[in-house]
Amino acid sequence: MRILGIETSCDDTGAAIYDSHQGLIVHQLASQVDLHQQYGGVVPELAARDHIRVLLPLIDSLVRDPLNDAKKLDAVAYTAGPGLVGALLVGASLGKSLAQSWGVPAIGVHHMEGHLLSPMLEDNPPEFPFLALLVSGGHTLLVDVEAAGHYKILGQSVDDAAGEAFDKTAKLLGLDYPGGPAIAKAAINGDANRFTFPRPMTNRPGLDFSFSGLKTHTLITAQKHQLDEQTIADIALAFELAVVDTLKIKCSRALSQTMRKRLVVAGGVGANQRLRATLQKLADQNNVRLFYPRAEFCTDNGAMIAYAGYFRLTTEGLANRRLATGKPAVNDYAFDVHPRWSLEDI
Amino acid sequence: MKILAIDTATEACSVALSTAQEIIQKYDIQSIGQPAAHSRLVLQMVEDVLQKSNFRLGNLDAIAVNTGPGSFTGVRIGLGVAQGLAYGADLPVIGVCSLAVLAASIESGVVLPAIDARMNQVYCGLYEVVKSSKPIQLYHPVVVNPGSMPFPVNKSACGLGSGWDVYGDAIIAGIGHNEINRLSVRYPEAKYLAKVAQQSGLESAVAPMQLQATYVRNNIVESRKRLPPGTRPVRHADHARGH
Ligand SMILES: Nc1ncnc2c1ncn2[C@@H]1O[C@H](COP(=O)(O)OP(=O)(O)O)[C@@H](O)[C@H]1O
Repeated sequence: MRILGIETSCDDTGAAIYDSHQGLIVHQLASQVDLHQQYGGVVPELAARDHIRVLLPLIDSLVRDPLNDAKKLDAVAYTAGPGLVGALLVGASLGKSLAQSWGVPAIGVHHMEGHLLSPMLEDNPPEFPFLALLVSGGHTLLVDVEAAGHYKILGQSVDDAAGEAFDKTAKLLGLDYPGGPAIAKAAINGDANRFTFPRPMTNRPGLDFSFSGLKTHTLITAQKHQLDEQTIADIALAFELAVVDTLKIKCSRALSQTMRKRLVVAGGVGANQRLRATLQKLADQNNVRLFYPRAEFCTDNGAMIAYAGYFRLTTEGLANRRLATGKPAVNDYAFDVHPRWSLEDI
Repeated sequence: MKILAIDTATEACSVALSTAQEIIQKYDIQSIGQPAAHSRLVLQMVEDVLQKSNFRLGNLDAIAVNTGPGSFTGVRIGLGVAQGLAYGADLPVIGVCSLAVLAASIESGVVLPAIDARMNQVYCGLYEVVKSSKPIQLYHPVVVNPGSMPFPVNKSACGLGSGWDVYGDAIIAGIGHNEINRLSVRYPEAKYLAKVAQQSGLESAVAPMQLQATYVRNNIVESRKRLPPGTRPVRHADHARGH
């Protein structure tokens, strides 16, 4: 089976072609970071306009790529939620119609399931069951994956997502957007002994996260000091260490609670090297195997959507399961999207 | 020419299949402000008209689509559907402006179509319809306050479209006379879209990748929201205004 994947849930237009025998064939991404930068945030209408402008040319370039020897594919997967409604509808309307025109199945994919399954695109993918830490710009989730398609959310952020905390902290330190890579870069020259930041919600039981207090703590520290290059590096490091340590403590707790022997980390913040190294150490100490996708598949992309669509269409027991979103599809020709949609409700 | 026409640009959702001999149409109206719900209707309508006419997409010559102005979301659903169907079946697309589609619903004469653009504005333009050729655009589509049409409207003209229902009195006050012939047509329909596409011919068709929306309202982010360069975005800023 060769499947086209389409991602348009937020500010990245992604598309990819995945083959069940050959793996990922081609993929491409058009980022809108520059478009939204001047407005101080993602402007939903601008995002949707850009998606419809670039999506079909992007798909066309993949279909015609010499690496893809099939002009017509066997299925089309598109992100059906969660995300911005106008942005989601672009991928859904084009993806569903293209599938209808080709006479092949279309499937609406859950964006976070895409992230969760993204390590499957790599060599030596994890087997079920596993524990997953999903840390992106919009979500921070600890998920117990008992079996294919069976997700239980063990913990999530009560306020800012981890990636959002990186972005906001970078902003108050005068660093570039997106904040994650900028903070990680600045932190390289930081002195770990200068500041120590709190590890929010770690001294009480539970697996939920909170990052807004850490952001405030960073702000107060930044206001108390002259923000020279060294101080910025020291604060960036203290912040990064606090986030990474907090995520590690919760992962450790969740691993002993679930007794899982595999840990998956995905989502934009999963690209963070310090997080990967720290979780690797945790995994080694506990005889657990750590899995993560390559850095470019940590952030939003079409490849993970193609894979998740393939997974849904071909996994026994999932293929015919209706998307249980409270609002069942009216008919086989409908392309509903779900701006709010929990992983547990797929 | 065999044309499949798709119109989801306003509260009305319709699909038509037109050939030299006949035209079949499916039509439905959504509750006000819910063009996103066209996502449940439009492809079923496509399937219905194809079945009824015994055609497959591959037998057609082109796909026509209403490119707006109208609901931003509705316009994009139409574009996405037209692009997907056309790309998959190797067909060209013919984009037609919603105001021209409205104009094509009269047989002949000068017409001022107006579509409710929310925020106390209308999308409008001025057209002349001459039998059996496509509507001639006398004034290009604009978004304006209903009381300030940027063109004169003579007394023999007729007016139609949802903008007239909502702002009819203001439009009349603005153009300075009440002689205009107001028609009850509210929304563009795929059968008139198909008619304009037939009249335009394949010369006006483009590859599906080249299809573009006619938003007309392009000032969608209030300028005060603009931040100085170098300031970084935070996730999900306030939603932009607009319809
Ligand atoms: N190396 C990194 N370290 C920490 N955070 C990172 C790194 N790279 C990217 N990020 C963060 O990841 C987020 C984007 O991730 P993504 O999965 O695309 O989010 P979403 O799916 O919510 O749009 C941003 O908040 C960004 O700052």
